[in-house]
Amino acid sequence: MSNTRNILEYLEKTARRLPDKVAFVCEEDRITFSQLRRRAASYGMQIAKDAGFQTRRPVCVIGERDINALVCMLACVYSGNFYVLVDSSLPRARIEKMLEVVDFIGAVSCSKERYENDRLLFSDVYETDAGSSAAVACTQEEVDRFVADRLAKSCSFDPLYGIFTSGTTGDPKLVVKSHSSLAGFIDMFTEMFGFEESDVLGNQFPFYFDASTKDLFCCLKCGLTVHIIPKKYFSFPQYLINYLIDQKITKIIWVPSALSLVANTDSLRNFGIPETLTKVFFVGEQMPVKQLNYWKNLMPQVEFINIYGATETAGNFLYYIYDKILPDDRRLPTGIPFPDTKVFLLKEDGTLVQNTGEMGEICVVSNTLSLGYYGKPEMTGEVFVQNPFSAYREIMYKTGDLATYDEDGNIVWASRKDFQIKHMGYRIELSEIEITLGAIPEIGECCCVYDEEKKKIFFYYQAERDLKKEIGKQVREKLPKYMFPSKYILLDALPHNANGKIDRKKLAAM
Amino acid sequence: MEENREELMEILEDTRPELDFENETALIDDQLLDSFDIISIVSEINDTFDISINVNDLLPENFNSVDAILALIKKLQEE
Repeated sequence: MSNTRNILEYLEKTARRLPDKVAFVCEEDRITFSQLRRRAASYGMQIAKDAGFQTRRPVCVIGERDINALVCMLACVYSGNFYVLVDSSLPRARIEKMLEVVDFIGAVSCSKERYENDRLLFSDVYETDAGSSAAVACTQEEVDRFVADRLAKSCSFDPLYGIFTSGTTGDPKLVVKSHSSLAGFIDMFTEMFGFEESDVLGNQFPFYFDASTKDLFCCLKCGLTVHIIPKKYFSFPQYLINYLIDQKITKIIWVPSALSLVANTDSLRNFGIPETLTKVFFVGEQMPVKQLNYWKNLMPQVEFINIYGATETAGNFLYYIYDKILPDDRRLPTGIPFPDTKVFLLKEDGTLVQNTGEMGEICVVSNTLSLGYYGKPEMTGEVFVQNPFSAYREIMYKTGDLATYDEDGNIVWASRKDFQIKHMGYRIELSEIEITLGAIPEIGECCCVYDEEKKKIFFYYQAERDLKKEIGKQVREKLPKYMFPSKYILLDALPHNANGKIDRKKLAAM
Repeated sequence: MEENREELMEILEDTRPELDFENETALIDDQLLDSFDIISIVSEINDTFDISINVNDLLPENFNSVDAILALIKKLQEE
């Protein structure tokens, strides 16, 4: 367990230790640790006043992937409440829906295009420019006193932030995470992988996506600098590589698709090797081994680490260090549990998977579990359950992901329970088809979609030319007949959702 | 050149019919086009104009406006 009771202790300490060091860089904008602390704390005090000094309640931050959003997120925490970041570029109707499903005590709008909602908007705390009224309304002494009081009254199990995740019913659910679960994870993660003050992170994940909290809180804890890499660079690999080189980025935590973009365009050869990189983490979807080998071959000194978690846990709970090269058509192992964490595979009959190759649902017991779904105790109770193998109270989270063990004891992710389809009487993992066919050298990205109505498997792939023959050959040689896709569809590119993952819904609608 | 423009407008409007391509000058910088759009457009342009936009030409400044894209096409046709 972490001895950090409130995550703000990270920022309080770092701002005293390294006041003038740059914490975040976002294009032309940058902010030092002391500026970040001063702004967030004084806006936090303003929010607390606006909220009538309520605590432990949700506050909505409507913002973009920029420094203003970060300031406002932390301001909510200073106010004694917890933040929920909503992407300001979402359609208005979607934002309204999110504001409806949770009883927010207020909202802070901090994007360039201000979102107005009279019912919810707090006073002018969203004016995050240095000279704003909120910042000058109170003296440094008042702010310090306010912060000391807040920290003294806080509990380690208080909520820190909430994150929306789509429910199967279509209504968004809000997962809430505590200070102690996040601090526990960040302390462990930074120690295991040697995050230091001298590190420079290159952020790819938007802040409303859970994986970004590693960038944010590693920064506050270690006093390292985070570069918020502009989104458009992830469409233009030359800019991306130059950015990594010019800014001397040392560690990146990215979605596999972003790493695949670099591999598929041969950008390390075309534009140069970012020599300062020491560690590359990938999370959020399955990393294809072919593209990983491209990176590993050209940058053998770099450590490549697969990490796995769920929105319902703080941070990750499985990891795999890619130290021996695997063949291109192999599935990358998801890995072994982090320290202080129990992970097991539960079969449908309620027993544990013992043998290699048997499949079960990934279940986890850890201090880093989230607090469940906000305002939805039944839904929470369905997936956060008593560990049936324990005679005392021990809560485990059932991920809904299926996996097996390999010969080395690694857990190997197979699919979402929902992606496991029944086709011609067989249970099929669509990801198995993707991995097998994705190994064809000329194929970039690929994805399988099952059409429930027509009972057909569609295989979408990205390549320079039509590969019908090559795919057909691979299908015949490597897959059982019931797994044969009924159609191969060549695309110029696969669609991606806002988090950078392949957008299966969009493909299904094509 | 005018002929190129017409054909290009057709490609762009087929990809994102709701955008005002004639007047936009920051298609990339304002994030009006995402990476999926860009790759589709590049591929259509390659086929239509029988050129090959390679990864070295894949730069935001070449895609911010219709004029910028036309200039790129012209450059590659002359090569």
